[in-house]
Amino acid sequence: MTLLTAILALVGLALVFGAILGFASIRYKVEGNPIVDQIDSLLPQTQCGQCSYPGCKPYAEAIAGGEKINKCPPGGESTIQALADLLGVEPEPLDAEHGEESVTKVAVIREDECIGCTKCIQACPVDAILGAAKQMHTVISSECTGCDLCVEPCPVDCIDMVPVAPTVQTWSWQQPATTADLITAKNDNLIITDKGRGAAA
Amino acid sequence: MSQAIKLWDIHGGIHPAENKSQSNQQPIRVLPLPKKLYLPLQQHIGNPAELTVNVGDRVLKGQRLAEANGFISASLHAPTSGTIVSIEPRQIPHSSGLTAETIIIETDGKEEWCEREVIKDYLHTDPMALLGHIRNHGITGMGGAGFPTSVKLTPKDDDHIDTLVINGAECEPYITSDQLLMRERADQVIDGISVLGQILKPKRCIIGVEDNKMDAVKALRESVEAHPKTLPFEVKVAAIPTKYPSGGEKQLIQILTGKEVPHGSIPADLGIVCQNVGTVAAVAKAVLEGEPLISRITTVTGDAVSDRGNFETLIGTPIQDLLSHCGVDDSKLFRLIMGGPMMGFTLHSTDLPVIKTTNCILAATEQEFPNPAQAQDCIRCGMCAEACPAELLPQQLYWFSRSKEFEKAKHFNLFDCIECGACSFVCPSHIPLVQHFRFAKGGIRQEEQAHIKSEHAKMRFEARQERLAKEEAEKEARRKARAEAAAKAKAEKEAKAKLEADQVTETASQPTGSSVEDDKKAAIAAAVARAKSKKATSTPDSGVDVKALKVASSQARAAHLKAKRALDAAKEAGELSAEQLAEQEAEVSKLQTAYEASKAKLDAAKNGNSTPSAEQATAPAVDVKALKVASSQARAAYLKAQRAYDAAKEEGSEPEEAFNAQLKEIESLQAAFEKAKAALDNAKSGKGAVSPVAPAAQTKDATDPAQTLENKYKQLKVETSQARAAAKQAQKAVDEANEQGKDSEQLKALETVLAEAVQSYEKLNAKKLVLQEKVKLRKAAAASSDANNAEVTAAESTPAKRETSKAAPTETTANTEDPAQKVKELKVAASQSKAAWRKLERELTKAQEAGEDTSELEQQVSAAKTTYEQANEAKTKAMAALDS
Repeated sequence: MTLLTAILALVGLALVFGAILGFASIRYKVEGNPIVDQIDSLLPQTQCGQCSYPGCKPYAEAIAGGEKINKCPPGGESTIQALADLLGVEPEPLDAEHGEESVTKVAVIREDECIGCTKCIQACPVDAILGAAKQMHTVISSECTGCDLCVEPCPVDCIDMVPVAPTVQTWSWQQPATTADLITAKNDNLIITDKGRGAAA
Repeated sequence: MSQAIKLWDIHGGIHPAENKSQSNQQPIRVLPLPKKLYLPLQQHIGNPAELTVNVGDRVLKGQRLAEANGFISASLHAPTSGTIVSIEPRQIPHSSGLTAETIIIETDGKEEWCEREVIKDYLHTDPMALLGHIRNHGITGMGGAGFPTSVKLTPKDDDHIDTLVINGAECEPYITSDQLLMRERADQVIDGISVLGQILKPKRCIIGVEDNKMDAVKALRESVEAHPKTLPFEVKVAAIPTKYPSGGEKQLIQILTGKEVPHGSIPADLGIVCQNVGTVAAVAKAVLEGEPLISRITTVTGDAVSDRGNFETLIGTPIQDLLSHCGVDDSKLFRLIMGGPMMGFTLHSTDLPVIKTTNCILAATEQEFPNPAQAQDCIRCGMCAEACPAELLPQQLYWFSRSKEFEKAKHFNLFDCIECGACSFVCPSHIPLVQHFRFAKGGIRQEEQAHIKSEHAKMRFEARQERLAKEEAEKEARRKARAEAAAKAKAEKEAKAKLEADQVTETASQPTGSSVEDDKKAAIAAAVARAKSKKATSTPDSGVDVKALKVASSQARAAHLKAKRALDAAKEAGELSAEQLAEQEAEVSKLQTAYEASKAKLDAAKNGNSTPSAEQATAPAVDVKALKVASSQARAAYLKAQRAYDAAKEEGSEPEEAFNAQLKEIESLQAAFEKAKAALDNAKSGKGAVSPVAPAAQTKDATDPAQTLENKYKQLKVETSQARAAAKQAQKAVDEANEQGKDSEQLKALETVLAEAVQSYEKLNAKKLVLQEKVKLRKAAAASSDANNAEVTAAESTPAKRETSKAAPTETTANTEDPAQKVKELKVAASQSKAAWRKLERELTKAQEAGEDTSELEQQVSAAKTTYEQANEAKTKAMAALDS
C-alpha cells in the first residue's frame, strides 16, 4: 500500500511538473536567437564591414554560428574581451588581416572640392552625410562612426578621415606608466602623494 | 556656542604633514592688477559657457562675457574693465593640458564697474529669484570640482533639505585659503548661509571646520552670534578632528550627521546640501554686493616662493604674475601644482591663468616633491583598504584597472572612489593607485559613451536599411507596373499589326476593312496562339502528342459543328427524307462523341496525365474512344515520318544528322504509337468488353450503320497495325536469322511466319483502306453540306437561321450572329475541306506508289475537291453578301 502511494505521488508530481514545464516552454518561448542580439550590442556598430561581413548584425550572427571573435578592428581588444566574456571563450589577439585598431576617426569632407556626386551619401551606413545632387555635401560629425566607407567612392578624393581630438569633456587619464624611466615630473600629470612627500617643511 | 556637537568617525583616512603654517601667517593680500587676463570659457563642470561678447569690445568690471549654456553650466564675467583683445584656444589649467577657447582681456586699470544688481532684502525674496541671481553671477563650487552652485541648490521636488552642511574642513595640506576666508570674512560666510537658508529652508546648518583652524572656528562662532536675526534656523560650528580626507563632501556629511551617502545617490537624497565656505561667501557677495564670481582667494605656497600667503586674485590672472609677485625662484621651482598635494595636478606652464577653482598654487622644490619612486609589485598588504575613506578594496580595483577588466572594477564600486589619494599615500610599493583608478574610470566612461554611440549608430543603420528596403519595394512595384504596361502595349501593337496583315491579304475580297470584332478576335487569336505555343514548349515530352491531340480535337469539333449545322439546315429545308435525316442525326451525335473523346484526351494530355491506362481507369467509355483516336493519330504520324524517312533514304541526299534526327523521330513516334495501342488493348481487355463505349453511343452503334462503319474501320485499323507490327517483327527475326546464319529449318519456319503476317497485314490494310475512304467520303459530304448551309445563312442572315445555328449545343462565341463571323466560319470550312482534299490526294499518291487499287481513292479525291470548291464558292458568296 505504502509503495503504491509513493509511486502514485511521484507519478502525480511528475505529471504536474511536466505540465508546468510544457506550458512554460510554449508560453515563454524565445523568438530567434537571443545570443545574436547580445553579441550585436557588444559590437561597435560602425557597420564598416572590415570583418568581411556586411554589417555588425551579420557578424554577430556569424559569431553565434562559430565565427572567430577577433575580426572587429573598430571594437579592438575591449570588444574581443567582452565577447570572450559573453561567450565563455578565450580572448584572442585582433586578427591583423582585417585591419588594426586605431584611434576613433571622423570623416571630414573638404567642402570646396566636393562636386556633389552623392556617392558618399549612398555609401554611408548611418546617414551621416548631408547633401544633394550637385550640391556640396558635409558630414554630420556627431553621427559619423568613422567607418571609412565613404572614402573609397569619392571620385575627387575630398574626404579625409580625421582622428577625433579629445576635448576637456571627453579626455580621460592614461594608464600610468609602469617603467621607471617614463615616470618623470615633466611627462606625467601625476602628483604622487605617497608617504614622505611634503615632509620637508 | 560651546555646546557639544555629536560627531561620527569615517573609515580610514590619513594624517599627512599639514604644511599650512607657511601660508596662513599673513592676512589676505590683494594682487596688483595684471596687464592681461585669460578667461577660459570652461572653468566648471558641464558645458562651456556661450560667448556674448566679441573681440574688440570694451567690457566693464562685472559685465557678463559668456552665459551659461544649458542647465549644468556657468556664466563668466569680466574681472575688471578693459578691452577684449582676442578670443582664442589656449591651454587651460586642467589635468589634461588641453586647449580651450579663452577670452583675453587687456585691462585698462580703471576698475570701472557695470551696473550691479543687489538684493539687500533677500530674506523676503523668492528663492527662485535668488537662484536665478546666483546662476547669473556665475557662482561655481570653490572647493575644487567647480560644480555650478545653482544646480546644487535646486534639489529635486521630492527631496526636502533639512540640513545645510558648510564645508570649511580644508583637510588638504598646504592650502589655507578657506582658513583665511573664515578668519577674516566670517560675516560674509554667515551672510551666505543666510541666503542659502532662504533658498533651501533647512532646519539646521552645520559648519564643519577641522580643529587645526580654531581661529576660523572662533571667528565663525562670533559671527553666528552676531547675526541672530538673519538666521531663522540653528547654525552650529563644529570643530572636527583633523584627518585627511574629512573635507570630502560625503566624508564631512558622515562626520557631521552620521549619514552615509549611498552608492549612486547624492546628498540631496538624504535631505542634505553641502557647500564650500568659499562658495557661500561668493553667494553672499553676489546677492549683497552684486559682485559676480570674478575673484577668489588663492594660496601661493611651496618652497620655491619666498613670500607665501593668500591673495585676493582676479579670475584669469596668469599664474606667472602670481608667482612673480611672491618672489618665485625659478631655479628651485621643480614642480608646479594647482590644488593641494593630494588631489591637485601638475601644471606644465606658468602661462596658465587662475580660474574659479584655483584654491592653491604650489610651487615646490625637488626636495619637497621628488619624482616618485618606481612602483613595486603589490604585496597585498591591505594598507590601502585600511586607509580608504570609501571602504573600498583598492588592491582589487588596482588589479582590475591594470588588466582593463572594467566590468569587474565596476562591480567593486570603482565609482565610489573619491580619488583622495589616501591609498597611494600609504602604499609601501609606491603604486600610483589613484592614477590607475582615474584611468579605469575614464575607460569605463569612454566605453559607455561608445556604447551609447553604437546604439545610436545601430538605430540609424536600421532605420536606413528599412528605408532602403521600402524604396526598393516601391521601385520594384513601379518597375512591374511599367513592364505590365509595356507588355500590354506590345500585345496591342502586335494584334494591330496582325490585323493589318490580315486586312492586306483580305482586301482583294473584303474591302470593308477592320471592324472592332475583328480587331478583338485577332488579339484573342494571337493570345491563344501564344498561350498554345507556350504550353507546347513547357511540356516538351508530351508536346507532340498534345499538339496532335489538339489538332484532332479541333478538327473533330469543326466536323461535329458542321454536321450539326448541316442537319439543322436540312431539317429546316425539309429536303431530306426521314431515313436520310436519321442517318444524318446519327452522324452528328457520332461526331460529337468523337469530339468529346478527343477533347477529354487532349485535356488529359495537357494535365500531363497522358498515360492512357490511368485515363482509362477513370472514364473507360470515353477513354477507349479517345485512345483509339490517339492511337490512330500516333500511327498516322508515325507513318508519315516513316514515309519521309523512306523518301529521304531513297534520295540519299539528306545530310547524316537530319537523317538521324528523322530516324529518332520515327522511333519516338513508333513508341508513342505502340504505347497508345498498348493502352488501348489494355483498356479493352481491362474492361472486359471489346468496345465499352458509352451506352448512348452503344445503342447508336447498333442502329446506325455509319457508326458501325466507323467503329469497324477503327478496329480494322488497330488490327492492321497489329498485323503490320507482327509482320515487321517476323521480318526482323528472319533478317537476324539470316545474318546469324541459322539453320534452314528455323529460317524456313520464320519465313513462313513472316509470310503469314505480311498476308494478314495486307488483307487488313486493304479492308482498312476501303473503310477509310468511306469514312472520309462521309466526312467530306458533311463538310460540303455544312458549307452549303453556311452559304445560305450568310446570304439570308435571317433571325430564324441564326437561331438554328445558335441551337448547336457546343457552339462557342466564335459562332455569333454576325455575318462577318459567318464569313469567317465559311473561310474555315473552306480551308478545312481544302485540307481534306489535299490529304486525300496525298493518300492517292501513296496508294499509287504502293501499286494498290486507286480508282476508289481517285473518286474520293475528286469528291473532296468538289466539296472544297463548293465551300470556297460559298465563302466567296458570303463575302460578297457581306460586302453588299
